[in-house]
Amino acid sequence: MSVESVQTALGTEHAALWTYGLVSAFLGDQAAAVAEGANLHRARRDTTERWLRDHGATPNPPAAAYLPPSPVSDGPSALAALVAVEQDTCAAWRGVLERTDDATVRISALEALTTAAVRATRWRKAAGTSPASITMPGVASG
Amino acid sequence: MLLAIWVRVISESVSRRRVLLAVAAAPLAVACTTEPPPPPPPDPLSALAAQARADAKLAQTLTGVPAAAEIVKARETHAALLQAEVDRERPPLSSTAPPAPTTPPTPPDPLAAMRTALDEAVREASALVAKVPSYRAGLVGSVAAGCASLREVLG
Repeated sequence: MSVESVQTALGTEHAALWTYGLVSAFLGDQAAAVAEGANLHRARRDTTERWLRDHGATPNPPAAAYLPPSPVSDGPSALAALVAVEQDTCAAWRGVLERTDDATVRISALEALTTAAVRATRWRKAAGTSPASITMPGVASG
Repeated sequence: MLLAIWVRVISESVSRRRVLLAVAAAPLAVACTTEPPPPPPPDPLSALAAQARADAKLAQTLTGVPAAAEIVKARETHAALLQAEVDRERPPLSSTAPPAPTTPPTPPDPLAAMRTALDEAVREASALVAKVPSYRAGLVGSVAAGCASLREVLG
């Protein structure tokens, strides 16, 4: 059933939103891009919650806090946290793609996967990571 | 027709098991007498794999573009993954590799052609995501998102 995988994806959207809030203090020079990313995740969270309610499920609430893979204390670690959370989002939405036959859900999951992949690429570019692109977004090794 | 009548006749006279046997055998009889089915349509993932191979070739012609090398590598990976799925579902009759695409003439503006090709790759893979079985949707979705990522790097 796809509800469970959509709940997982909602969890990564909550985590992404929280992370964008956390890093904003360290990425003042990229405030516009940070705000844009946060807005996209907020919109995705809202549509995902709506979808779950429409399908008789109660959307999982956000956690009080999330643990980035490494502590965020400056610009580079802030960028790393953004890259990590966008890649987690990719994996969760790819998981939805693999667990539903509903064309509408697939299209929406693909949109979320693609958006997160592009955003992760932008942050990798900003961090000077090489290669900046992600060959298979949503795949652990990708 | 004959078979159907026969089944109906015996259903009135013989045991349930005999009838079930006859019914089970019916498709077999049909299968033996009808024309062989037409060959299945080409695997839609074949086209995506060919597109990926062509993009890798095109990226090799880009000079002075820092992203060229990663585009070559990423699109070769896409081609290999897609081809592997095509071959898994329908193993090739011979062990020969798919025919190498004929090298198209180098476009006058390879960079613009590369942008167009990646946009097209995102579009084609995205259009397929809702149509493939779920076990393929992740693969095709990641290829679409991977091409969007390459497009972002190319600028």
